[in-house]
Amino acid sequence: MCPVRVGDLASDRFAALLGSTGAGIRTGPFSLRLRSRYRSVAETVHFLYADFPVDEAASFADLQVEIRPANGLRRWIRPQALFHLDGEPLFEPYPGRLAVPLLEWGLNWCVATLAHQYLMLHAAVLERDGLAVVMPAKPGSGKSTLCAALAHRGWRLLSDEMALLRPEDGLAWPWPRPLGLKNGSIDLLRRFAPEAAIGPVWRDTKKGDVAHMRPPRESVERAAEPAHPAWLVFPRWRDGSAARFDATPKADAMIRAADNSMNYRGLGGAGFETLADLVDRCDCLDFEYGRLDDALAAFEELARP
Amino acid sequence: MIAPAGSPLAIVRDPSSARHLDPPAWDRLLPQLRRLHLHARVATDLIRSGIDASLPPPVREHMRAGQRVAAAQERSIRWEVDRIAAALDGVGSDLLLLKGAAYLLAGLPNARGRLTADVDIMVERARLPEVESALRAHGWQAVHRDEYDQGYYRRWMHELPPLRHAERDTVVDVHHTIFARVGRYASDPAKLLRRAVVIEGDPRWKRLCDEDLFLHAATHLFGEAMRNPLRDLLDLADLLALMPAGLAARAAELGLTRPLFYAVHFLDKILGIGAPKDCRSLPRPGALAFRLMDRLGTEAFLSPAPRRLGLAARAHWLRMPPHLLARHLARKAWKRVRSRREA
Repeated sequence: MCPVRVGDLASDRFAALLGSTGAGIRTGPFSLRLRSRYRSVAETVHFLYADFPVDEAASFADLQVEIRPANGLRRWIRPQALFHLDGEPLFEPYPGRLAVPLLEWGLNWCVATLAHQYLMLHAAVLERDGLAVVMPAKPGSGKSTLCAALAHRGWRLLSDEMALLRPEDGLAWPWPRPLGLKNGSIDLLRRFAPEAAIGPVWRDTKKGDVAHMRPPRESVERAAEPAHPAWLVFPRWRDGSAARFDATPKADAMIRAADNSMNYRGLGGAGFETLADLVDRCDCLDFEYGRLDDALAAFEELARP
Repeated sequence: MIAPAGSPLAIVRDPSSARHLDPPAWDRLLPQLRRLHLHARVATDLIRSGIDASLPPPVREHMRAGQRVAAAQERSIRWEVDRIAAALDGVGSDLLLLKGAAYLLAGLPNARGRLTADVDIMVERARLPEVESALRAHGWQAVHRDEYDQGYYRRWMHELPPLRHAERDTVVDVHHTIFARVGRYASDPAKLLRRAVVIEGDPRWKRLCDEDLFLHAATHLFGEAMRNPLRDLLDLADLLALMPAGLAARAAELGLTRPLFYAVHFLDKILGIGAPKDCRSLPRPGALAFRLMDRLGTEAFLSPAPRRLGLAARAHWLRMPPHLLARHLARKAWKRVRSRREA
């Protein structure tokens, strides 16, 4: 029997669930119990998480999250939203109209600070034929755009934001979530993949305009299937550049990957072993590109056996 | 006091009771443990004893993460302590580790999975200027830039304003005694230093002697706002188990009989740990003060979301004599109003 998916629930029933006991949503290895009375949250989550399984009778949630309005005057004047984890507010209040970006950003933060059973890299991860490409990058490198494009051209999305590497097996574990797109890349993606389901555009966040893309259905359905890392790629978008891979020394790759990790230091010896193992088994490459089409062709070439 | 099954208290008193908890019980318990900063300790206990193998699989993941947090914390404190010692080499003061860092380097049982934000050290008051400038020369910077906040610490408290390392983001609190110098539990630092003992693992550092370690923990817990009540009470429980007789006499010597009284009272009431012989007839506080503290304390230890206002008020009261306190609070209120207007 197929699990119930978020999209199978009528949107008002989903909103009612979010507003009362909370909705149980399974996102990869983490179960989320989300509560919120914001209409923007109910509508957007219903849309972006449509393919995610609902844990209707979830008796245990890894993440207990609520997006709620700040009390007092702030309910009425320039309303603010708070992100609660475990019943306590985590961050400074955020403008109420940006409750959805706050949720998406906060969930990343929660996993980055809690899930130390994994070595975590700030990286996009995609899979082809069981092999994963791990792409660590700082914001602004074009990682998310490239990742969103690949996810629509035959690569299975594991995550656009976080590589979860398990020290015990060295595998990359999926955590599919809505993909964050910023500014110019929102329209770029619309043109590139008209079939992509993109949610509302949130104007003037700290990072400019932000929109989220629903992850492809297959990536959600296969969220329990890990992949073997085969390529460690450091992407960089540069206007006018031809798409090209260049080998990078493994020692450099190790340091650069560590630099993009949330908990490399925290894991100590296990962090070192896991990362060294990743670098050992991967081809380590710099990747520069100027146009998405060229980039995709180059990745096709990369994946050819 | 009977701890309800599946409460944080029940699990720290008897980790093996975790075996009987079902997923809904964990669903309630884990957030509470995280809020109380006890998840790393519980994870360490459950993994060491092998109990984690019988937990629901998603809970085991959290235990594994908690154990890693504990290990990371330990490594980070050891490294920080090493860097501080290097920075303070040659300042000409005895260097003491206090609280979490002391427990860890001395290898005491309550250090396991103990989460702290800061490293606390103590130096001789006469050497404070040298200590502060040595730390600043090695990359530590003031957290509070405000002149009044700086003055508050320097004139009235038992520590320098906190210093944060610019690269590692870690905070060191430099104490010259263990309670606000103008406060109710002010004690003579010379007496503390005289009985301090060298830490075997790292002879650059000393720590308070066993009795003073306990009395400091008690003073910290019952003289301040109880921000980590259960964690701090567990410190007392673990330390008491190591303790020779002599607490009562030492407390009298240092003027810390009152915090000792409350430590003994709540260890018995909350954790069911009987008082050592010499602590069974300590002078009692007045009936009203006792009833108030008993209520505030019991709520802090047991309630999942204690109200802290009463405790915060009491902590202020103990830290400063009334005339200074009135001035300080008025000043703070004025600043809040002003900053709101500017915002």
